[in-house]
Amino acid sequence: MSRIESGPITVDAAGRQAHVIGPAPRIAPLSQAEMDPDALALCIAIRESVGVFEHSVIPDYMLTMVKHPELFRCQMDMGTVLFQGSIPPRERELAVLRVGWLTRAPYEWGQHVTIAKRYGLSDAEVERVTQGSSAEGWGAHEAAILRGVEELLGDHALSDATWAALAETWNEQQLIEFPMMVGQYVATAFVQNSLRTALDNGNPGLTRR
Amino acid sequence: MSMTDQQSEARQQHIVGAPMRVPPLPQDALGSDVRALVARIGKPLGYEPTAELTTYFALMAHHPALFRCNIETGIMFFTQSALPPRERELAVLRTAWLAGAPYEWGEHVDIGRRLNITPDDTDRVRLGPDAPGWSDHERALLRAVDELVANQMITDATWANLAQTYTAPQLIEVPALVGQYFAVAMIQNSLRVPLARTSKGFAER
Repeated sequence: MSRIESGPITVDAAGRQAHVIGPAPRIAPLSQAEMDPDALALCIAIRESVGVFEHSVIPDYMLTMVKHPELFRCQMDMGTVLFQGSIPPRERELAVLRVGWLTRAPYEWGQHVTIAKRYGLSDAEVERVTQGSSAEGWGAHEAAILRGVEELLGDHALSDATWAALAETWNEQQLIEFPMMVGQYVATAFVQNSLRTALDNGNPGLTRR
Repeated sequence: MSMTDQQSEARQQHIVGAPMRVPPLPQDALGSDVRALVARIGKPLGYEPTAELTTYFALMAHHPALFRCNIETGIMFFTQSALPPRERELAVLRTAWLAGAPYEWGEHVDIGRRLNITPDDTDRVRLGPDAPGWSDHERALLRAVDELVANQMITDATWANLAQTYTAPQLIEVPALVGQYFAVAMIQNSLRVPLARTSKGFAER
C-alpha cells in the first residue's frame, strides 16, 4: 500500500476472504496431542496474560506459531505489553480495526471486532471504521488515530498535522507506543494472512460488525 | 517500487531533516536495565558496548516495557532466527527500502557488511526482485517482501518457491520478520530518529 487511504476502500470481502483463508492453512497446525509440555505451557501463559483461563481448545494460530517457539514468545510478549499498554483500550482497538480493514485481514478484523465491542465500540462505530478517518462522526482525537493508521500504512510515517493532533491528547509514552503498536498489528496481519490462518470460534472474518 | 537517488534524498530530508518529535532521555537517565539490553543486542553483531547509547535506544527508554520487547525481538532475530543471516538481512534491507526508512536502511547496510552483503547486493536490493543477478531463491524472498508491503500477503507462487527450500519455522518467520522491521521503520520514521553518527542513511551501500 503506497497511498494514504482516508476513506472507504473497495474491499471485495468475500473474494479477499476466499483468497486469504483459502482451502487450507499453508502450514498445518500441531495437534494438541503433538504439543510438547513447554509449548503448551507457553500457550497457556500467553492466554492467561490476556485474561483467558479456559484451555481445552487452543486456537490453530497458536498451534502453528509454536513451530517457531522463540519467535512466538517474542510476538506474544509484545502483544501482552500492548494489551496492557499506555494507550486506552478503546483507542487501541479503534486503531487495530483500521489496520485489520486496510490490510484486509479476515482473522484480525473478525477477532478485533469482538474485542473492540468489549471496550465499548458500537456496531455503528465498527461500520464507520471501514469508512476511514474522513467519515462524518468521529471526534478530532479519534479521527487523528484513524488518520495515523492510514498514514503509517500508506507512507510509513506520521505527518506533522496528525502528530500535532495526537499530541493534544497523548503524552510522550503514548506517542511512542502508537507507531509500534500499529506496526505490530500490521505484522500480525502479514503472518495470519500469509499462513492462511483458519477462522475459528465462529469468527466470520471481514463481514463481522 | 524503486526510488531514484533524488527521491531518496527528498525522502530522507522529509523524515530526518527536522528535529526529533520526542526528545530522547538524557544519557545519565538511562539505567542499567536499558544498558544491559543494548549490550545484549550488540553482542551477536560484534558491536562493542559504548558509554553513550544511540538516540534510538535513548528514545525508546521512555517506554521501558515496549523497549524491552522491541530489543528482545531484535535479539531473537539476531541469535535464534531460523533464516540464514544473509537472507534475513536481504529481507530487512528490502523492507527498509520500501518503507522509505533512512535510519533502518543505513543501520542494516552496516550489519549486512558484517555478513558479506556487498555494495553490489545493496544496489540490487534497491532495484528489487526483478533486478538481474539474484538466485531464484533470493528473488522469491525479495518478492515476498514486496508482496507483503503491497498486498499484505505472500502469493501462492512466491510461497511455493520459498517452500522448495524453507522449513515450516523459516516460512513462518518470513512475514513476521518483514512485519517487525516494517514496525521499526514506522516508529523510527514517525519519531524522526536522526541518523546514527556515522550513517549516511539511504546513501549507504
